[in-house]
Amino acid sequence: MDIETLRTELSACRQRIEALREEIAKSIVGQREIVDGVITCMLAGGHTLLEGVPGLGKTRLVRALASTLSLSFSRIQFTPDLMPADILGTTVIDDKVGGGKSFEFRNGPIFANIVLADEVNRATPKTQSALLEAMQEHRVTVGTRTHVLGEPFLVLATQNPLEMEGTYPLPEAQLDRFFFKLRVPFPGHDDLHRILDLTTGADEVLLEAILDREKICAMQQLVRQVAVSRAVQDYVIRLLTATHADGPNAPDICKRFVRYGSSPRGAQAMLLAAKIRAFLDGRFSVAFDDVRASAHPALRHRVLLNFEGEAEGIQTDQVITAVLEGIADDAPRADSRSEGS
Amino acid sequence: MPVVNSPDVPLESATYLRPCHGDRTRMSMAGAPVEILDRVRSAERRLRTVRAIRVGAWALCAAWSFAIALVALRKFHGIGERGVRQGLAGLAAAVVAATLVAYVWPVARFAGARVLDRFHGFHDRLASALEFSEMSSATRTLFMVAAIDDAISLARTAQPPRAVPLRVPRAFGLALLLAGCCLWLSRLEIRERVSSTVEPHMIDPFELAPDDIDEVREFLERAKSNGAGEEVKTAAVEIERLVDDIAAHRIDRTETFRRIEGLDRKLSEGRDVDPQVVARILERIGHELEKAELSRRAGEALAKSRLDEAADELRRLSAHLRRPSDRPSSASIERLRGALEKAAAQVAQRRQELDEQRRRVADDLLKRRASAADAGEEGEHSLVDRQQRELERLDRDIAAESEAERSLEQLDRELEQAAADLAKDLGISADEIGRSAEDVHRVAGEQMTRREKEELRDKLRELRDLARQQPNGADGQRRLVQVRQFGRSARGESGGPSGSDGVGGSEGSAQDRAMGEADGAPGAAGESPQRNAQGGAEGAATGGETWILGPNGEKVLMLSKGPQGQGQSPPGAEGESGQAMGGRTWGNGHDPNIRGKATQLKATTVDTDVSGADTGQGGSRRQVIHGAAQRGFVSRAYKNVFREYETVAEVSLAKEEIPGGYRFFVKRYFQLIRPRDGQ
Repeated sequence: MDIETLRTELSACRQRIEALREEIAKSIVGQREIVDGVITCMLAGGHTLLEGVPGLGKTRLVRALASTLSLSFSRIQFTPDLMPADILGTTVIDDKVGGGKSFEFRNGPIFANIVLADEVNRATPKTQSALLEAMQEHRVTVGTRTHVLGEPFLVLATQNPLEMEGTYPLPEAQLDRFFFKLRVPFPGHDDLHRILDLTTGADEVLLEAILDREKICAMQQLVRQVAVSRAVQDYVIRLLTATHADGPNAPDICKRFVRYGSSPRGAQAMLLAAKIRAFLDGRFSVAFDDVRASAHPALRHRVLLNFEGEAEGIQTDQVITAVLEGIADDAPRADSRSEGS
Repeated sequence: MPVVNSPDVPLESATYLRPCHGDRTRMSMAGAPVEILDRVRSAERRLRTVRAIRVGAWALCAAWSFAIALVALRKFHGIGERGVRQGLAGLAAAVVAATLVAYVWPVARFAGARVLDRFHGFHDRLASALEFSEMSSATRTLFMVAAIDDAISLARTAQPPRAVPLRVPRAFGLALLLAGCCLWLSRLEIRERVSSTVEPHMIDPFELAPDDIDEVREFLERAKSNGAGEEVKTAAVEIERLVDDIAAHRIDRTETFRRIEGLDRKLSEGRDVDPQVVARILERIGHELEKAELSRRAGEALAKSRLDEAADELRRLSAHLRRPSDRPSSASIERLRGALEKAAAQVAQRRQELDEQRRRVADDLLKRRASAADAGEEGEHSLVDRQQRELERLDRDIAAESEAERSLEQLDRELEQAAADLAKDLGISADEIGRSAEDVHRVAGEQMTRREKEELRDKLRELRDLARQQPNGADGQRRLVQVRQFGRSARGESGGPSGSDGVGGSEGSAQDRAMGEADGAPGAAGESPQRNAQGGAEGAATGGETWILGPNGEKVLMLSKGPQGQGQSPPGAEGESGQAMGGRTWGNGHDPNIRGKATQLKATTVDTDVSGADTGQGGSRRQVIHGAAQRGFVSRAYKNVFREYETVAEVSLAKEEIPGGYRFFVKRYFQLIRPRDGQ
């Protein structure tokens, strides 16, 4: 492949992604950042945790995405009595046609390309833990048998931040396995008009599949090749270490309110997301801005506050903002005092 | 899609890549695209320039601040001009150095690329491309190559001047403000306030009693009005100025002594010739001239030291010799010639006599010294000492004679020439005698001036003695009060509180303290046994004694008197009586060594306290004078009474009956009781 081919390919990918956005936009009004975040997670092969109050279209967004992608989709409504087997699947005795019985494994809803884990925090930790292996390794082990999940495998979980009664907060290991945590904002005035128009009318929105499995996988491979300079990568690392209270460049808010900083998965998520952003922007290399743009969704669920932070009502986004403000990207400013000397 | 690890485009063969040498930044840009590199370097230069300007501006602010401090220090005399100049030069050098260092100091890696990326929104494509270009082609991915290619296309649109504008930093405004302040301060004239707290020159003024000041002024008036010469008048004016300063309390004690010393030195100039010696020589010349009939009158006048008259007689003789009609006889002329010759030889003859006498005494002294050394007797030693003193006196006389001889040398020559010419031509001789008359007149004038100068010197000496006797501070004030009281009492102004003519009571006490100041002598009397006895009696009465600086710098013990004040006159009286011991009357003194030697006291002597009997009908002479002084002289003009007593005192002083150490007190006493105007 030469440069021109690469350019052509890149351009085609961007067109497809743009088409995907437009298609999703038919069902989801506004929420451009959330849609981009979900697409980013899809291209990165990562999982998404959508957090928002009920009625903001989280489930609808996932359904729209699944509709625009020619991928298998399953929805799991997490409830306290949900068992792991309900997710992973179970072995049942099957009567054979020719007679006889045999144990046969019935796939659970996890066996899909896109899995919607609705209100994931309502299930017990035991059930939530059933997702760990599938999310990290894209496979499920039941008994002595391991079942490989099909690629791409994307888990899109939702949770309600308000109803805490009867919920089980996701364990840190579980949270860490989500590529992004996206906070779904309340739509604006105009968006509400459009939402009402869209959902209260007689017309039903039918979404077309834009991307298939092969294209998605190809794009997942391609975005990982976006070039990253050492300076940008160094910046990612410095951001990551700054989220730790004992980090060398940690801001005061980190030192006061952070119990655990982000794991290295946070850096991976930031950098990969930055690559995707650059890719979608038509660039061949990652910029500092790309890293900065991906810092919040990639780190906000990986930074754990201490008791004081929780008591003070500190949001992890505040911590990440402070980290971004405290860590310079080494780019000199002609009219600034710190010109990177 | 496979991962692309090796680009299809060989970067080494690309035309936009070239080695980069001499890059001043730390980044290694070997193989960096020229299009990117040019822009990046330009941006970096501008970055360094901006930094240099900014650092220079702040350095300028700091320099101006220091300059203000320096100028302020200079204005307030903290440092000198040279220090300021050096400081300003150092500051200027520091500003230049800081600016240069700021420019030369390397910027961060890819700083130029990043600033271009930021300004143009290149999303770090230039910086990333530069970094990718540093990598080897083996490790360079297709995306990297594409990124470099992308950056090259973007670099063409990059504008370093816009990305890094050269703006005047705000610090320049501050620097200008500080510069204005510094210039204003440098032009500001700091007027030094002349310290208004300059302390006036405080002196401890020397004070004299008004009586003393009046007395000196009167004397000076007399000295000026007696037809004195200019030199004497000038000296009198200067002394008068000194007295005025003392009266106005303008000078202190040290200054007083200094000026007295200066005046005394001025008056002493040219007074090497002893006037008494000159008078003696002139007297002998006169005796010789008396022997000739023609020059008898002139000789008599010279012998009696009437020099003006002698000069007139000599002029008359000269005129007589010139008159041919009244020509003297040959015998008279011959006698005159002989007299003139002998007169001319008088000076040298007297000198020869003195030399001969000195030689005799010196020989005798040598012999006595030799014998005294052999014998070792005390008597011989005293004789040797006496002869030594005699020898010294002769030396002084010879010296004085020599000076006088020089003074009269002209007269001597004229007389000798006149004698020589008299034999040849009377006219010439008359001229010589006429010139001799002028010489005598000149000597007379000199004698007059000398006498007046001596009087002035005596007065100065008295003034100095007064200054020595007058202590400083509170003691001096007390002394002045006492002197004033005594002066008033002496003039009969106060009459004393009791009005009695006695010598007791508080009046007597006050007066006698003053007397003690005036006399001071009895204290010194303790040196002799007799005076010791009196001193003991007085000591019982007063119990006070003080060492003071007497005349001629001698240390004198002054005893203050008790109520009876008996210690005042006895020393003088004793001295007077002592003189009379060998006279026509029997005297009332005694052996001064009545107790014998200090180591061999006479065992037969008995201490006796002798005191005058106060009968109320008049006591001793001293008491009479004292009482009269207190009461005032009402029956006769005080001036006459004073003159009578003063004459007696002066005669005693002239006869040296009064010891030197006491003369001052006698004079002082009469000064204090002298009559004033209207008395």
